[in-house]
Amino acid sequence: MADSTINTAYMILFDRWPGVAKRTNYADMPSAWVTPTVTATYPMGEKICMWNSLRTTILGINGWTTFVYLRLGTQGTTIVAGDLVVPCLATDIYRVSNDATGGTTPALDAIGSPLAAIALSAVTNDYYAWFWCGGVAPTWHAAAVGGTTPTADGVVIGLLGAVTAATGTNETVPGPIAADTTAPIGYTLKDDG
Amino acid sequence: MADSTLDSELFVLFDFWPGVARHVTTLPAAFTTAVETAVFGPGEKICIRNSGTGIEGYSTFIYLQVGTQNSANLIAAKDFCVPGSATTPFVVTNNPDANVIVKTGSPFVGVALAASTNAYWNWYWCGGVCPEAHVADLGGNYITDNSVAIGPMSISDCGTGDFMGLSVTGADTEAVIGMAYAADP
Repeated sequence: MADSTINTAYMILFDRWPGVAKRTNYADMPSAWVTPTVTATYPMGEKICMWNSLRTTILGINGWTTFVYLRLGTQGTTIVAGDLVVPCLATDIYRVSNDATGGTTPALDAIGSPLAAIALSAVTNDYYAWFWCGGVAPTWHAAAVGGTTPTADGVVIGLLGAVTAATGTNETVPGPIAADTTAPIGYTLKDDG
Repeated sequence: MADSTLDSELFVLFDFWPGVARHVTTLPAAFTTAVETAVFGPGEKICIRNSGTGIEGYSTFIYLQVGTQNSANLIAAKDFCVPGSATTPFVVTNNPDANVIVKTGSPFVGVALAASTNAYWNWYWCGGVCPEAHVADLGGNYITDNSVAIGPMSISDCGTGDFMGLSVTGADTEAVIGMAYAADP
């Protein structure tokens, strides 16, 4: 477990992954597009941008949300929807993990990575999937992203960085900016806790 | 009054708002006129070339709604606005002392193109060079807190006069929302 939590509806991510996202209509996406697959069905690093509408049962924000197509390396704590991942392989910038320091593919830069994304669902090691990387939480597209996600304690309204949870497992989570070597990956509209 | 100013041709803005902008070659009709009922989606963004007046380059606009503006300093062209609600970040205000989530260091900034009415919708300049070829009222001096140096800038409560304005980036918790090409005088 991480140190605290925040509702994803209050997080807005900054997309720093290479390239420009394609504005896409939800109707143009294949069914089950959020389900991870064992083989890639899109080019690595492909990005799409879609409108997020509200669900009556999940707190969310109307707005634009951006996704990037990535491949999971070896997860540490079992990944669920809402978990943060960062690059973990120097030879493949699109290979990601939530494992801050351990495992076979630990994060390259668990504290301060400007490249970060959030899982839309559970993901099997080495599977390909779309991840939320920019804009508002895609609660309409992936309901499981709604609700709380782990943070390092101490998140206050303002910029978010990728950090290592202070306690428990070596999990990469959103946290406060602690140094000028920590790249902002987003903004929170509310404190955690 | 705030402490100093910076000319519209001496800085560019960085767009942190969600989504990607659509490239356009013409702007919507009555572009600077605020309307009571939104005619575009909240947070819609468009990008157009600024040419002929001001800096040659691309400018980005975002569609936002005014929440409650500063009654002592009503919104006018060139005023900086920031989000005023945790659940509706596309609702903004120019009031640094009320209805503002974070008044210093916010990554989300929109510059008003014209006067507005509370709860009305309008386009705001949010990225790139000043679009003064398209909106003449955006040319000229912008409020600063007299700290701007060549380099990264943030948004700040200017302290006097209840204005949001440009400031040198003062901490790693402040988003860099633009680049100054000159210090404020």
